[in-house]
Amino acid sequence: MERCDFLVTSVGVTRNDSVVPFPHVAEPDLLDELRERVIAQLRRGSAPGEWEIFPLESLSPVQRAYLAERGLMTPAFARARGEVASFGLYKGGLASLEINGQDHLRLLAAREGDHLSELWAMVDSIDDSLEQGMTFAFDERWGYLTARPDEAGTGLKAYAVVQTPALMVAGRVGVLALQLMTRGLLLTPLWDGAGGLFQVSNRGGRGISELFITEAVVEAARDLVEKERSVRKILLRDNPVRVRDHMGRALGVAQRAWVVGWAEAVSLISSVQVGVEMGLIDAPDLTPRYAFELMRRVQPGHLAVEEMGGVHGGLEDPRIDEVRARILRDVFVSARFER
Amino acid sequence: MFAEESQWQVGGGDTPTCESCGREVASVHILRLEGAELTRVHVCQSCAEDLVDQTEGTALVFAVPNLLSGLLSRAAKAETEVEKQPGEPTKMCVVCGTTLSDVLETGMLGCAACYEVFSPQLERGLGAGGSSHSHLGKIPGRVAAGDPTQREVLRLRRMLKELVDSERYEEAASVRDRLAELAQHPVEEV
Repeated sequence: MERCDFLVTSVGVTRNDSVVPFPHVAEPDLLDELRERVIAQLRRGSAPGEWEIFPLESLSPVQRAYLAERGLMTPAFARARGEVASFGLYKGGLASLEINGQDHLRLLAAREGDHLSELWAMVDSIDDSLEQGMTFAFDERWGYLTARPDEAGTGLKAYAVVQTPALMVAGRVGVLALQLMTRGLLLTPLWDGAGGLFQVSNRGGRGISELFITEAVVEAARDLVEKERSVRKILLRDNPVRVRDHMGRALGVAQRAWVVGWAEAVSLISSVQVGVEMGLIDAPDLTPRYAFELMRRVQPGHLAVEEMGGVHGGLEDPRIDEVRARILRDVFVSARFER
Repeated sequence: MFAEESQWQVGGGDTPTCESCGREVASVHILRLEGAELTRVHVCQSCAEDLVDQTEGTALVFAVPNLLSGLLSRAAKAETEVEKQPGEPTKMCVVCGTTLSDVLETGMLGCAACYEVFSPQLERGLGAGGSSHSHLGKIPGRVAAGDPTQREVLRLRRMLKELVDSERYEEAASVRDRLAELAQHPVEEV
């Protein structure tokens, strides 16, 4: 029953116009003209209705939080003020486009499971379409040029999220992160490490191809998953009472609590889900991917949009913690601890 | 859903130095949770390995985000000591007005032409000189097909760099204007 998988994979591709200065120094009218050019090309290069375009300022904090939680908007863009920034949504959320953020263009796409190659292929195709109406900043030696020169090259960032709480408890993630860094990869705690979720990504994109980047990220993530499996077995063998105590407490709180913060909820879901994989908890539907979807569903932006019917409400509303607790009670109502 | 890949910012163009050995550039930021105590430290790769080994708890490792500005700063200082005379103006990109000081402060370039203008510093800071770092990924279709606008942009950027390097700023300004003109009126295929 024990199995562990990639929870989600995502890509981000950065492009800039060859002549207009980068957004942090360009005059607003130049950026505005660029934005109009990009939007016109999106319309020309796609079927009607495929792209929905929104001025960034028209999106409320709750809507931005929701999009960032789904991997369709970067946290920095969600925080930006940007009078000349716009956001594009492709086919209802298969991909997205940030216009005039840190760079002129950033294409994003995310999907549950191991889909890095497909995501890159889709974003590559959108990139080709955009290029029909634009001249991208490119240098034969540096590659695609970006506002931050250490991001120049392919302009591609590839991400894979893995659930490795046992490696975290065993104190192994620091060593592994340093090892990955020497290979040009980053191992970063997602959501501040809550639930032992980590993101593997490439650090830069120069001197390597897109294929190499996606393969390197997948290989590193798979290696982490294998190590996580081994450490879980060792932990259960060497500390069976501690492990059972941890899982049992998590399930108890998830089934009984009435107010739960988001980081706590992620930890509870992760612990119960690992308990299911280890055969300690009976909750057959709680696969790693369903657990991850549940973690996303109880984020503040998702609760505000999907459960509380408000796109303009506050993310700090105390009722959010109560709604989150109710969802956990409902999901785990029939789960039980194996004796 | 994207994780913030850094928990640490070095402002003001400071060169981040390893807090452990005091010699190397700090490239790693470590958050250590031991019991209830949370500590943060920025160190070089070598010292990071020792520190993580010694941690009796959880050590989270982050890459220093604007390591670039530190590396550029060191490269620029080394260059300045050798080449720059007192009172000499700082290097500036005439297309966007970004100066070397701006780049050191923020770690960001202002436009595509900055890559040519600041290439010596970038090459020293990022080690771009070796062929192993040459671009190997996707190439825009227009470059591959020999698009005349793209060719002209690349030619003008190289010319701009040479003019700035030789301090021929008036001629550089006219090249800058030609680049701006190209954005509005691309070269027609003959």
